[in-house]
Amino acid sequence: MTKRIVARIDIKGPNLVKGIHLEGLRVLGEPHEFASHHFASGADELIYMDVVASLFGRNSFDHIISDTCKDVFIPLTVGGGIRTLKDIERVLKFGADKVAINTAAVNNPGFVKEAASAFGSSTIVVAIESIKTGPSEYLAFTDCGREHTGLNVVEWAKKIEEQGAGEILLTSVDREGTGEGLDQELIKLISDATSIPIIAHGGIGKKEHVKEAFEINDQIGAIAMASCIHYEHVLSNQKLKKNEQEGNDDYLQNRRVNKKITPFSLADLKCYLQKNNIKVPSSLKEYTQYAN
Amino acid sequence: MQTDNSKNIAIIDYNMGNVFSLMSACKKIGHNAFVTNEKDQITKADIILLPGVGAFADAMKNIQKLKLDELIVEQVNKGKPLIGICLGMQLLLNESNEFGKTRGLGLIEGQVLPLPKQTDNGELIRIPHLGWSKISNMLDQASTKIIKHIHNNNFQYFAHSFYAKVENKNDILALSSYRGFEFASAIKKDNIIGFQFHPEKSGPQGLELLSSAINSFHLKVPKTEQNL
Repeated sequence: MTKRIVARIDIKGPNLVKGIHLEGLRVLGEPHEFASHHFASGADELIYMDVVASLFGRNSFDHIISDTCKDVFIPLTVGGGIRTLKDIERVLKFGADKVAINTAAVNNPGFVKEAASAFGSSTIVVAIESIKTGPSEYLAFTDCGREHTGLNVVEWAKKIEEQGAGEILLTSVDREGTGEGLDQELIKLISDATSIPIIAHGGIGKKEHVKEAFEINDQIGAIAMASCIHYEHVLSNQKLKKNEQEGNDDYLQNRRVNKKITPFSLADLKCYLQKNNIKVPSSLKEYTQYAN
Repeated sequence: MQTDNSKNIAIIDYNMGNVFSLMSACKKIGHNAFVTNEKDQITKADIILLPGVGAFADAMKNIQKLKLDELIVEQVNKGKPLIGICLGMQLLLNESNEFGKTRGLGLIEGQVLPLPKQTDNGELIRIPHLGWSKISNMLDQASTKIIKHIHNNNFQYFAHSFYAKVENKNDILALSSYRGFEFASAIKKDNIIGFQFHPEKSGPQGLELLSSAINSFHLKVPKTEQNL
């Protein structure tokens, strides 16, 4: 099975941000600029996550989506603050291909069913934010891992599949931003319990993590990453600036990277995976022709 | 990027599809695309593009409500080129078995069936098929000409739970497989082309493919004469 490499872009206000355990968000730059860069480097898919649901329903978010879809020609999943069928219709109208739902699904699992029947299962991604609470025990959270739902992730994953979700975006909040590698135990629990595609997320810090994860569990169809690829872009571009006067730009000023993270570009990653016999869509010759 | 070869493409709006991305893609490859469900606009266009995401039955219902079914069939029978994408390709067939039988546009013989949930060896196939698969050219002359860029490494992005079981092998332009299950990923009959994948979301090679499909049509009235 061909694997997907997904670039995840967390957005707060007008900026791309990155934290650890989804918290302590640092501004790295503009979402669209990073999306274009990752597209040109061979990303197979993008996720725009409005991490504090700060923008949802605001025109500025619609513009970030539509500007991106004018020149980035890969699937885009948009999440953060989606609560109604109208919300879904709105982001799809501006160019998103899929939506990621978390809180609204937890509040009312029937919403997943409604959304799947209105827009098709392949459009509806349910985001699960998981925190390990005991040996082999993981619970689902919302709001960047802050709000406790009491739901066991395995039961929850089965439930949302039953409701017609087309895909699970599985985030290990424990690993997110740490660069310690994916939580394979968590992923195995979910992949054993479900029969829909899974995007594994949270913890990729170096290329080897991606290779190992695909090798250990062949049920992982896609891996999402953020820190390692965003930092590579920042480090190789002195000019990047944040948008407007908003957010913590400590990182952009000092450019200090978490020691567990070894930044890499997606072009590098794809070459590396291909060399190691992991099937990824061929790295793409004429990217520069279309990417801005 | 408008050129002399720029074509007027009517992207059919029936509330079931990512028309924005399709329009961006058409513009990127130099065509004049517009989103419409009006008869005049569709009749005047050089090419009809039928997108679609969601349920087959809902899509047909919306198309019928807008009286677009008869118009599309009439236009195609008069020789107007049509490209159907994803659900828009499936709608071209006779019928779908998605949640009960629903009649399609009937432009290409065949039916829409669910993808299998297991391999022949009983291994799980995760559905929907979300991701990139190779498309392999069916080696007849007509198709090699159209999809001249297809080679072994041509990956396109798929997002579907159903596939088109095409009756006549000659209507199949390209095949793909997901976990060993082979299905028609591109179809062609006369002035109709259908793609199960999303060329508009498949990076540069998707845009190339969409571009060669659009350029493969010989319009009845060449642009230059129209302008005289």
